[in-house]
Amino acid sequence: MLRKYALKRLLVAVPSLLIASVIVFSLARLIPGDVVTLMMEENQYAQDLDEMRAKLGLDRPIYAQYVEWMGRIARGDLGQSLYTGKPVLRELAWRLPVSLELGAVALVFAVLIGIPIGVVAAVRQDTLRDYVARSGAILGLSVPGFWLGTLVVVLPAIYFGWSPPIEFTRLDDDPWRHVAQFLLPGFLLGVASAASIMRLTRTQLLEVLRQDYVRTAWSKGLAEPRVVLKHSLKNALIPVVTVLGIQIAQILSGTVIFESIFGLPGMGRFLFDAITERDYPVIQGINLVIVGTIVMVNLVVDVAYAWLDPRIRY
Amino acid sequence: MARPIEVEQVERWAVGRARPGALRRAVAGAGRFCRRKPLGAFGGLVVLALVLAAAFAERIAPYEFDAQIPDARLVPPGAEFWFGTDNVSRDIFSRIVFGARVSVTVGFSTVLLAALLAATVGITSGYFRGRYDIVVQRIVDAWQSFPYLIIILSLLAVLGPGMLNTILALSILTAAANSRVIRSATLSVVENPYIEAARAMGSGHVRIMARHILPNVAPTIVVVATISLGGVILAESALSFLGYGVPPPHPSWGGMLSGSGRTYMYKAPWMAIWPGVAISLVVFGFNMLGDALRDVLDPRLRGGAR
Amino acid sequence: MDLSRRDLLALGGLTLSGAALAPSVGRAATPKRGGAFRFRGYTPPHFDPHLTASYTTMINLSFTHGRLLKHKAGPTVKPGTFEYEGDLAEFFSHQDDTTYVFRLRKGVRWHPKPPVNGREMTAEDVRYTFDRFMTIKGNANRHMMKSLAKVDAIDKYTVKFTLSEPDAWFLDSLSNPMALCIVAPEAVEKFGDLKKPEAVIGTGPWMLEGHQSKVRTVWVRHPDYFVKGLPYIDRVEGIDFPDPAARLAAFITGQIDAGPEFPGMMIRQHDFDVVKAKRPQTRFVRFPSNVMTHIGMRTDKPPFNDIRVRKAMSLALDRKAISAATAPLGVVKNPPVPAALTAWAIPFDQLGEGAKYHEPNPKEARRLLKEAGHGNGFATTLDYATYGSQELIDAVQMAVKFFKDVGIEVTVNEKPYAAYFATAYQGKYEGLMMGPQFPALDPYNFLAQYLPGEPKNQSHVNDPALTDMILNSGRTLDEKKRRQQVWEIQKHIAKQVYYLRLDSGIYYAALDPALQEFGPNLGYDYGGRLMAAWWDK
Repeated sequence: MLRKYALKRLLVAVPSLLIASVIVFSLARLIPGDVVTLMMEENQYAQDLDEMRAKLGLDRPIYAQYVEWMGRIARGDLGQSLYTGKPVLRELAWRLPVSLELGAVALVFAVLIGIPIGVVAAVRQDTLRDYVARSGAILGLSVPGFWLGTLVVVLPAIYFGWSPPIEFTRLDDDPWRHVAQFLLPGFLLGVASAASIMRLTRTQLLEVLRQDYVRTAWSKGLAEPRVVLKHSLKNALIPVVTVLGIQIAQILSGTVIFESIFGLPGMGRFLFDAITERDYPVIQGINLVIVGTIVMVNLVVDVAYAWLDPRIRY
Repeated sequence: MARPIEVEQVERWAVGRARPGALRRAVAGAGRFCRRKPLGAFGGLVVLALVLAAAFAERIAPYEFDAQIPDARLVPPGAEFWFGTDNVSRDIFSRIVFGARVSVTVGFSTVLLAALLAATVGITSGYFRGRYDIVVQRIVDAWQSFPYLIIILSLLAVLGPGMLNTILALSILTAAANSRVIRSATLSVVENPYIEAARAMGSGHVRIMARHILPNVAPTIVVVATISLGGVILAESALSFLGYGVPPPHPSWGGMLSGSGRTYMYKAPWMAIWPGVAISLVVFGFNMLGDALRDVLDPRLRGGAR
Repeated sequence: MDLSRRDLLALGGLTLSGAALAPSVGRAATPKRGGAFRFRGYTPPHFDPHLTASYTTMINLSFTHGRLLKHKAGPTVKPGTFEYEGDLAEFFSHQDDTTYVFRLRKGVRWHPKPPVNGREMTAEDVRYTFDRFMTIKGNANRHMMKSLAKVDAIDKYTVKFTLSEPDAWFLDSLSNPMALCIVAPEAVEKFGDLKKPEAVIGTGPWMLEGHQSKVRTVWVRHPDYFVKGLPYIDRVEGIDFPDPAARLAAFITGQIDAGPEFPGMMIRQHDFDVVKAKRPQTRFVRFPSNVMTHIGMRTDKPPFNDIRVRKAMSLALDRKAISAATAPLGVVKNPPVPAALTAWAIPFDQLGEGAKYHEPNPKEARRLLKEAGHGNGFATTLDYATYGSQELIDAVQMAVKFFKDVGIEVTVNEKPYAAYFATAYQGKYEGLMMGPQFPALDPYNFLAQYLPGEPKNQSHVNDPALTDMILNSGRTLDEKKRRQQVWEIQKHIAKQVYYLRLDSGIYYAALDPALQEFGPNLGYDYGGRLMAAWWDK
C-alpha cells in the first residue's frame, strides 16, 4: 500500500521536475539580445557574437536545445562556467554539501524553536503566554536576516574581541570546528523559519484540540498536559512535517545571505557570484540542482507523511 | 473648523452608502476584535500608520527625503531631529516616512498582483478539478520548489534589476504559494449544496466562480495576502543587501539599513536602528494582523481552546 | 629627436653609473625569518595573466612571479611614487629611441614544480612571454604594449625590445604589476593555458601551495629565490571574505594582519575610530587614493557641448560637502591627473584659471546657465553603478541634489556593474555618467581619457590641440620635459571642464605593528611590497 503510494507520488514528482527544468532552461532564453553582446564585450566570454550565442545555446531551435540540454544533464553534465571554465558539477559537488549542512542545522533549530512555541501558543490561545510566545517567534522572523547576522559578527568583535572565524574549515581538517562554524548562521537562519513552523503547529493543534476525541479525553478528567501531549500533539504534528519541505526552500534562500556574512563557500554565494558575473550556465546549474533537491525532499516528506498518517491516501 | 472638502465628501459618501446601523456594527466589531485579538489590533495599527505615512509623506515629514541640511551631519537623535541625521546631513525621520512609500508600493503592488494571479489559479483549479487541476498543480509545485531569493536573483540577473522586475518576480512566487491555500478553500466551498443549486439553475462557470465562490474564499485571500506582505517587505530588504533593491534616490528601508546603516553602524548606530525598527515593526504588524484575521475568519479556529 | 645615450640612461630615475638595477632590500635591524602573513585575499577568475585584466589575478601573481622591472617598495618609499628598479633584469640600455636591451640576472630559478622543476630562467622565456602576450586571443591588456614591434633573445641573458615608435611610457608599462610578469613556456605547454593553480609557476619570492576558490589561497617561501635570504616570511595566506562588516570584525579580532579593504591594505575612513579603539597598536599609514571619481558629460552633444553649461555644472557641485559626507578624515583635490600620483599631478594651487571651477558657486552657475539659454534649467540622465560602495551612492545622490538646486533635473539610472562597465564606462550613455576611474599608477591612463577614439574617453572629448599635446608628451623621453608637458596638459583640461572631478579620499593603511620593513602603496603589487618584510614578534 505504502509502496504503491510512494510510486504514485514519484510519478507526480516527475512532471514537477520537468516543468521546473523548463523554467530553469528558459532563464537563458530570457536574456535580452543586447545583453548577449554585453557578455561578450564585458567579460570576454567569447571572441564573437556567434560563439557567444553558441555557448549559451541560442543558436538552434528551442526544443532541440532543450532535448540536448536534458540529455547532457542526464549524463551528469551541467555545462561549464563561462567565468572560470570549470565544470559546474564539480564546483557544486563541494559547495552543495556546505549549503545543505547549513540548511540542516537551520532546520534543527527551526523545529526546536518552532514546535514548543506553537504548542504553548495553541494550548493557551489568546492568553498572555500565547501573545508572548508568538510575538517572540514572529519578531525573530521580522528582523532582516542580514542585519541579525551583521550584529552577531560585529558586536562580539567590539565587546569581547571575538568574532566568528572568517576562514572556512573543512570536515577533514577539523571536524569539530567544521560543525561549529555552522551553529551561529544555522541558528539565525532557523529563527526565521521557526515562525512558520510555530504558526502551523499552533493552527493544527487548535484544530485537533477541538475534535471530539480530545473533548472526550477531556471529559474523562484526564490531566490537561497529558491530553495535549499524548493525544493531540502527535496528530497535530503530522501536517507540520509537510511544511518542512517548503521550509527547506526558504532556508536555502537564506543561505545566499548567511554564506556571505559568515564566509561559507556554499551554493548561495556561488550563485550570487555567478549572477554578478552573468555566468548563466552556473545560474542554471545551481537552480536545477536546488530544485531537484527540493522536489526530492518533498517526495520523501510526503511518503513519510503517508506513513505517519494512514488516513492520507490519494 | 474648516476641513478639507474631500474628507467631508468621502465621509458623506461612506455613511450614505452604509446601511443604517452598519457603521455602528462595524465599530463594535472592531472593538471586539481589539479586545479579543490585541496583537492583531496592534498589527492593524502599525499597518494603518504605514499606509498613512506613505500617503501623506509630504505633510508628515519635516524635510524632503533628499534635503541636505546645513551643519547637521551625523547628529544623534534628539529634539531637533527625532531620529538623527545621516552622513549626508539628511533627516532620518523624513527618510523613514518617505521610505514607507517604497514599502507600500512594492508590498501592495506585489501582493495585489499575486492575489489576482493566485485567486485565478486557485479558484479555477479547485472548481474545475480533474486534469486541469493536476496540470496546474504540477506547475505550482515546480514554482514552489524554487527558493524565492534564488529564483528572484536569477530572474533579475536576466531581466535586469529595477522596481518593476522585482515586483513581477516577487508576485509570481507569492502567487504560487498562495494559490495552494485558495485552492483548498475553494475545494471546501464547492462541496456546498448551493453551488450545485446554482449550477442546476443554469449559471455559467464564470458566474458561479465570481458570484458564489469568490465571496466565500475572499477572507482566505485577504489573510494570505496580509501575511505575504510582511514577507515581501523582508524580501525587498534582503535584495537591497545583495545590491538588487530599489535604487536611489527614493529611500527604501532595506537600502537604508543594508547600505548606509551597515556602513556607519559603528559611528552612527541610529542610521541603522531606525530603518531596522521600521522594517521589523511593519513585518511584525502584517504577520500579527494576518494571524488574527485568520483566527477570526477561519471558522475551524474560531473560539478558545477551553 | 636627438638625445644622446647618456641622457636616455638618466630616464626613469635610474642612476647614470651603468644603470645598475639593485633591488632595495631592507637594511633595518637584523631581520628574522619565519612566520605567516594573513591578509584579505581575492579569488581570481583564473591565474592566466594574459587572458584577463582582473586585478584579482594580478594580486595573486604578485607573490609568485617576477617581471623585468618592478616598483621600488619599502617603508622609505613615498606612497604614490613608482620608481622602477630591476627585478629579473639587472641592467638595461637604450640603443636609440625605439630600442631597449635588457641584461637578465643570472641564476634566477623557476619554482621547483613540474614541469619546469626549478630550471634557470633565460632570455628565451622572456621572449616567449612577450610573444604570447602579443599574440594570444583575448588579452585585454594588450594595449599596454601597443608600441612594441618585436622581442629578440640575443643570447641566454640578453633580450632586445624594438618599438614601432618612441614611447615614453614604455618602461612604466613594463614595470606595472603583473600583466607582464614572465611565465614559463613548459607550463603553458603542459596545461594548455595558465588558468589552473597548478600552472602558477613563476620566479617570484613565494610559490602557490594551495588555492580554494572563495576560501583561501596559500603561498609558501620559494627556497631558491634569486635574492639570497629573501623572503623572510615563510607563509602567506589570503583569505577571501565577501562581507565588509565581517572583514572589519576579522581585522579587529586579529584574524588578519592588515586592513581588509581594497586596494592595498586599508580600512574605510569611517571605521578608523573603532579600529583605533579596539586594535590600538595598529600602525596606520596615510596617503591619498588614486581612485578618482568623476562625472563624464556628452561634450559632443547639447547641452554639454557648451562650455558655459559644463562650467555651471562644476560650479553647482559642492565638492567639500560631498567629501565631508563620504570621507570625513580627509581628501585631496584632484587635478586631471589624480593628486595621489605625486610625480605627475600638477599641484592644485598651480592649476591656474581652471581651479576656480572646483569651488561651489551656485549663483554663478545659474547665471552661466541663463547665458547659455537654459534659464529654466534642463533635464538629463546620469548612469552609474554602485560598485557596492555606499560612499559612491551617497556622492551620486548629493551631486544630483546639487544639480537640482541650480535647476538641472537629473534622472539616475543605476546599472549592474557589468552592464555599466560595458556601456557608460566606455562612453555609451546619453547625458551624464559618474564613477571611479581605473586606479592606474601612471598618468598616461588618465590622459588617454581625452583622446578621440579611446574607449575610456567617456566625455567624448575631441580637442585637436589637446590631442596633439598628449601624443607629443608620449614621444618626449626626457622626463623633466615630459612632466612640464603633462602639467600644461592638465591646466588646459581644467579650463575646458571636460569632466567634473571629485576629491579623492585619504587612504588609511592599517598594519600589525610587528610587521617590519613594509611600506604600503597603491597598486596590485602585494607580493613585491611584502618581499623584504619580516615579523618582529
